[in-house]
Amino acid sequence: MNRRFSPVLAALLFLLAACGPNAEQSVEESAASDPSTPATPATGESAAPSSSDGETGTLDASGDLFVYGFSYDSTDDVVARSRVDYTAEQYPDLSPTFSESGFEATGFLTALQSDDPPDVVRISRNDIGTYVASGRLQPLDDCIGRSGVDTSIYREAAMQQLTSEGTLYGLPDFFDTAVWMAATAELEEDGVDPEIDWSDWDAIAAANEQLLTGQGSDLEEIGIDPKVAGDYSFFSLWVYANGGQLLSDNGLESLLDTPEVLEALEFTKGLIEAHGTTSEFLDFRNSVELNGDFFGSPNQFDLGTEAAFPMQQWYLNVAAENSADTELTVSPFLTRDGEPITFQDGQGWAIVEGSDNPEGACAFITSMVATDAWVAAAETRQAQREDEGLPFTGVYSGNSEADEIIFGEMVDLSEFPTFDAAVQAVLEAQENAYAIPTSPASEEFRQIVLDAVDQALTGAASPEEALQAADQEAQDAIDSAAP
Amino acid sequence: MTAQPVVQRRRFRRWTTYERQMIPWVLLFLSPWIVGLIVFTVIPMGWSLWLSFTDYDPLTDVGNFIGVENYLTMVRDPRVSLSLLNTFYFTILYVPLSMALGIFLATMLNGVGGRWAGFFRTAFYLPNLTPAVAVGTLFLLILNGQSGILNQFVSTFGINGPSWLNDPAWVKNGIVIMMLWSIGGSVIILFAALRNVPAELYEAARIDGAGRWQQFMNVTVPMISGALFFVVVINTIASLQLFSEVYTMFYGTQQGMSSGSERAALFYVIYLFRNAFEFFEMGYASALAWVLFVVILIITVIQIRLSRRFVYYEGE
Repeated sequence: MNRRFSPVLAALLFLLAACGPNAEQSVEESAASDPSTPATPATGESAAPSSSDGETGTLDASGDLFVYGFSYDSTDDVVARSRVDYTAEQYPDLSPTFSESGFEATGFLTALQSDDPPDVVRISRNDIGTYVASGRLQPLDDCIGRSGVDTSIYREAAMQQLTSEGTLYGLPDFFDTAVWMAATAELEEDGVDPEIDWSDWDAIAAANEQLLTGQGSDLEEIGIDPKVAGDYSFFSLWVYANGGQLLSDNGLESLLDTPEVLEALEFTKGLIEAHGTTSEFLDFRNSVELNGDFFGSPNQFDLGTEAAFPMQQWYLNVAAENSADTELTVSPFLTRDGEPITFQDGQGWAIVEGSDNPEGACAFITSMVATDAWVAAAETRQAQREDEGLPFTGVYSGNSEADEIIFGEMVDLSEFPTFDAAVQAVLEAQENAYAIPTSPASEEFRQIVLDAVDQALTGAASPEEALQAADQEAQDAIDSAAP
Repeated sequence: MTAQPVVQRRRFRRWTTYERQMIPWVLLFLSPWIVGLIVFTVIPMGWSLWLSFTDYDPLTDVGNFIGVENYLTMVRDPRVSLSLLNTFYFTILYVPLSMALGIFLATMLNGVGGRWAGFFRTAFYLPNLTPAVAVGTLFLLILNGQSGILNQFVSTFGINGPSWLNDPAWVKNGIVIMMLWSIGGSVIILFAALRNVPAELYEAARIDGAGRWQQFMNVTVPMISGALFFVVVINTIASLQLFSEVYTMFYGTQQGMSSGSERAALFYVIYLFRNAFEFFEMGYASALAWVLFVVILIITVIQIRLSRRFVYYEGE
């Protein structure tokens, strides 16, 4: 017996949304979309050079369009604003309005239940599986066919996350990848070669011991932060580097109870516990007073309180703005066989099922990720950086054709050799990005993994016990959510 | 919920003609509240009861009747027992401490007169006006194990403070401290009750040779027992429904910054919320909500029963 519940649920959601979590973008998310956090508003100019592919403006798009999970009026993000301006030039009869917020599940659910649900959503590629499984997103076959977009220009790993059972449900926005970032001077001071062999876990453990200063509540400097505490993507990276996976490729089988996952957890736990207890380590790391402002200045590099950690490439822009004089050694994350590897994440653009304006939605999403749109955004950012006298480290999109133009013709870091080397390392890593499989129970699975990691790190359970219990719980969640 | 004096059984009296004529007017003037109650409370509660017997998914807007399956799943779900234990631990610790501190502060306020009286009353109530999200964020700084001002303060006594945010053994205690910061509401209620205690009772007690402690235990406490009971009940209910501050601290924008604490900070309503709006298990979340309702109802009934032995209502 199926029932439709919309009207009453809409009232319930309206009430509960007011009590929901903060719908504002997190600092990290904001930095991910515009890591430079520019001080001046966008000019709106987009004198983009033409590209051979990704041509837009070919659809007969007009009318109103509601875009959820994106900001225009309330953001200084020039990359976001430039692409919207570009789209407006391509489709002058299209009138998009924006939620002026990042994607937030409760808000999106409320919007879906309203009389005028969103036409387009910008959503994390890691979370899209839940909405695809529920039939809330439209397949893009028709849109791609009508717009004539060449999908081969988009990065394969990103497209893989947006594809379910052979059907494409979204187009990739940013393409974030992880690399090792090490404070060169800190490493040299402690007698550690900045070109650490990141494939050798024994070498990493030894370097960690050598780099850290103080212990427990007297910790003064973190050696190597594996970033696994509270971070699903980075934990997956260690597992992949160790030859394992958290989920099967189809996202339907939990692989938490495998030796590769266990070994990765035990190793990263060891890196943290070399500093004292996990609590002491995290207290120090999360203290702005002791460890600086991660997104500002002085940060951990300025204070010399953290030597090395893996991080998404967009942090280079944060470092360029706040610690331009700090010398960083940026290296690809490596498997234990010495091959570069990285997760990739970012957002995707999708059309909401039941959109009143599917033509407009198609025009909007294809235009926002078109090569010319990215190049226009990069030019705006570049001009802004030149005005500020700061290095322009590029814009990392899911569109490889755009990236070729941006990094081949626009990015010139000859005056900033540190950042030049860093960008090259990122570009190398990008070619080896894997897609974390999407599961019908994306958020629940992520939470179960984080809980297991937490339990192991805090000693509430051994890594083996935590992962065994999590594996069963995760499988139950996936089975329950699978269509 | 408000504490009602035990009303003596009165003989039924027929309404007068005038009273009967007034009924439509009474209903008319009450109608905004009645409509609000029906639309925003009665119907959603009834609907949520129905949902608790379905596997309703708000994304697909489809739900199948599954009987008591959601309730059986709760029995097997380790996170339900974990979140209940966390919630009871917090309640058992917070309610008595909030009462003790509330009485202490109310007594202090009662002793302040003159131009400073208004200032102190405002100052004690001010934290209640601070948005929950701001409180949560503020206490992320205050409770940091290494640089937070709480541990810096205790270190002046040679005590090495714990990791309030990241050590699972201390997380709930840290949350209790945070919530105690906002007990201004309880303080104001108790303060108002203290102001109503007749001065001649203290005078009589002093004549009988009672000291300050004896006056407090034998005059003050009985005379404000109605207010004390009210505060116990509302604080218990609020504790069992704790959400905003903790969600902000451990599941909101700071998620990923701290770890080791999410399980320790998994309170019942947080788990309920996550099921409904993050995992989209609305049927299961509704079942969780109804179990909480029943738990609160049972606890409140027990408290009311016990109150008959301990609470004194003037005029009874």
